[in-house]
Parts: sequence; structure tokens; C-alpha cells
Amino acid sequence: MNEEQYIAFDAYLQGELKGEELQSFEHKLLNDAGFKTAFQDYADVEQSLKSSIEHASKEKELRATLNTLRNQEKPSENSSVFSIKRYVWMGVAASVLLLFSVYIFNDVDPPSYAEYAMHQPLEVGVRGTTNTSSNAAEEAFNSKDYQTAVHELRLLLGTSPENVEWQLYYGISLIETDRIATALTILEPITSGASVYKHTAQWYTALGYLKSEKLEWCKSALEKIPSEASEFEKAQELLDRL
Amino acid sequence: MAVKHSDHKYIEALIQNNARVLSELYRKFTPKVVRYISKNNGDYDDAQDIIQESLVTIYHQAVEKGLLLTCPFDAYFFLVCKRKWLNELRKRGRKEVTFLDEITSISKEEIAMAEDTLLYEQKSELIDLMFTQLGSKCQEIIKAAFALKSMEKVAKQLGVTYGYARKKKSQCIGQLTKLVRNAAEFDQLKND
Repeated sequence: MNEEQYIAFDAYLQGELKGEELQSFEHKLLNDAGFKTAFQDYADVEQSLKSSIEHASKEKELRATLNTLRNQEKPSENSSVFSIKRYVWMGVAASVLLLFSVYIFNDVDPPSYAEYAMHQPLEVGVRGTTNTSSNAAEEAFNSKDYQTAVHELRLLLGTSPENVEWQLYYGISLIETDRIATALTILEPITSGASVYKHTAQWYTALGYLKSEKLEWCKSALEKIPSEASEFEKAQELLDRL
Repeated sequence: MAVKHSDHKYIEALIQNNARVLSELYRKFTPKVVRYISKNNGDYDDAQDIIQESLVTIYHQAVEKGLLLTCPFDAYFFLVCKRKWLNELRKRGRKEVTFLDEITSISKEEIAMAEDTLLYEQKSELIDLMFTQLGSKCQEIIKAAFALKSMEKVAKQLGVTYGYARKKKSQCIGQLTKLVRNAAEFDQLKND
């Protein structure tokens, strides 16, 4: 396909061809199947780009509305019997907490996920290249917009399912958005693999359990982090506190 | 002549970002999708992601291609979400759990509409993906061309002549067309 032809396609789409030029262009469209296909492909691509760029801000507004609706139909988690039980437990927990805070000091606060959730920034963009999706993922993750990060990383993984770094950050973003069960299934193959992210994935597996308050599982995940791992020290510290 | 179904109001609600009608859409049509995904290796949030992405796809198909709904929204929407979820499961390397759907009677028309939407999505995703493979100059000029809507402004913004901006834009779209065609052919080969 030569450059002149693309220029002609563009001129035709802009309605700039006149007189003889226009006639000969349309004659070719009718009689030359290869030319017709080439033009249609070009026009399809142009239309798709045009529409997605022009509607990008409307899409954002629509997503904002949809975000407010996403939990509208969420089934309530407990029947009334359970919630009474729950209140009792909450009462017990509250009084225990009160007792502790009266008699003992800060040290005994149970470790929380938030204290340990400090992530290395995601740096996927190779300098000098621009990849919209990877930049968007990086931007979202590093600015703690994990909902968007999940979406962007999922897109990236759709094209490169083997990219372990993206898998790891997908896992972290899922933990951040409370999709812990899914996160663990993403992290599991990394922990048993041979990549440099192996121990980091193990650490995040533990944090996933910590966040969902499965402390025994958290402990056993931490115990699997070997002394040569860079996460070893914080793993030991967290183990001590548990 | 295709006749517009009364449920086309949901498509219009997406175009107009009408929160009241969209809330009705969520109430009527999403619980089924949530139940399906929850029974099939997913959770509530997965289902909500799939629902949102499906609605955004339908929105784009509507504004770009003038999608006209000629069948009930219910089965059409369910099919779109279901297929998207099965693709997602494949990406995650998980197997589909097979069981009977709640929707038992699906007409040919509903299947065809859902397939149209999924095909539209596939094509747009491919174009977006290949767009990221273009050089940064090409990406820049294409974005500017459609955002500014005037090639004079584009030329000014990028500090090039009008003639060069025009030529470059058509070349870049041409290059993208080629990338998309090659990738589509490649995919077809893989599917055989």
C-alpha cells in the first residue's frame, strides 16, 4: 500500500475530492475489489479511533455513574439471626479492645494489613516508548487507584499473560480492592515459580491472608519466606507480632 | 426493516448517562449475571467488573455504530456478560463450570445481537491494542487529530506544516490499518 493511496483515502473521507478525482476514486471503489477492501479497512480503523477519542470523556462520566450503581444490588450478607450473633461478638470484641487499651499500651495492637501495605511503585514503561495501557496501569497503581489498576493490568495480561511482573501487580491490586480469593489464585503460581518475584508474591500471599484475618494461614505463608529473601526481615517481624 | 424494541431505552440511557434508567437496568438485569458468575469461579466484584465493561462496550457500539436494539435487553445482555466472563476465565487459566443457565429460551435474534456486540468489542480492542504499537509520533498526531478536530490546529500544536500533518496522519492510520489486518489474520490462523 503506498502513501499516496492513504492520502487519497483521507481526502475522500474528508469530502475533499472533487470532479474528476472524485469520479475516478468512486469508479475504483466499485470496480477494484482489492482497493475497496483496503479503503474499508482504513475507514473502519479511522472511525473506531475517532469515536473512542471523541467519546473518552463521556465514557469517564458514564463509568462514574456505573460506579455508584455497582453495589446497588449487593445482597446483604447476614440474616437477622446472624446479625444478632455478630452484634454480640462485636460487643465482646469491643469490650476486650477497651480492656486492652485501658491496661496495656500500643504494642499489643494487632498487626493490620495497612501497616504493611507499602508497595514498590510499578514501572512498566520502557523509556522512550509509549504504551498507553502500560502507562495507564502504572499511573493508576502508583496513585493508589487500584480499581483502575485492576482493569488496566487485566488488559495488559490479556495480551501478555506470561508477564510475571504484571501478574504480581494484578495480584496486589486485587488485594487492595478486597478480591483476596482471586488475588491468591493469581499469586499462587508465582510463589511456586522460579521468577525473581517469587518471594515477593509469597509476602503478598501472607498480606492477603492478613487482610482477610486468616492469621494462621498468614503465619504459615510467612514461614515460607527464606532468609535470603529481601522480605525476610519484615516477615519475621510480622510473625513475632502474630 | 429492523424494528426498535422498547428496551432500546436502556441503550439510550447509556448514551445519555441517565442514572435513573441505569439504576433500573441494574435492578432488573444484573442479579442474574452476578449469580451466574458467582457459581462459575468468580465473585461479586468480578461480576460487577464484567457488567461495567459490557455496558461500556455497548455504549461505544451505540455511539459509534448506532446500535439499534431489536430484541429484549435481558437475554442479550446476559449473553454478552457470559461470553466476556468465559474469556476472562480463560485468561486466568481457569476452567468453566458448566450448568444450565437461568435463561432458557434465547432467540436467534438475541444471539445475533450479542455476537455483534462481542465482535465489535473484539475489533475495537484489537485496534486499541495495535494503536499502542505505533510510534509515539503517530500516536500523538492521531490523538491530536481527533481531539482538536482541525488539522490546522494540529499542525500548529505540533509545530509542523499543515501539509505535513495531513500526510503524516493518513500514513499513521494506514500503518495502523496494516497492523490490525496482520494481527487479525494471525488470530484467524491460530483459531484454525
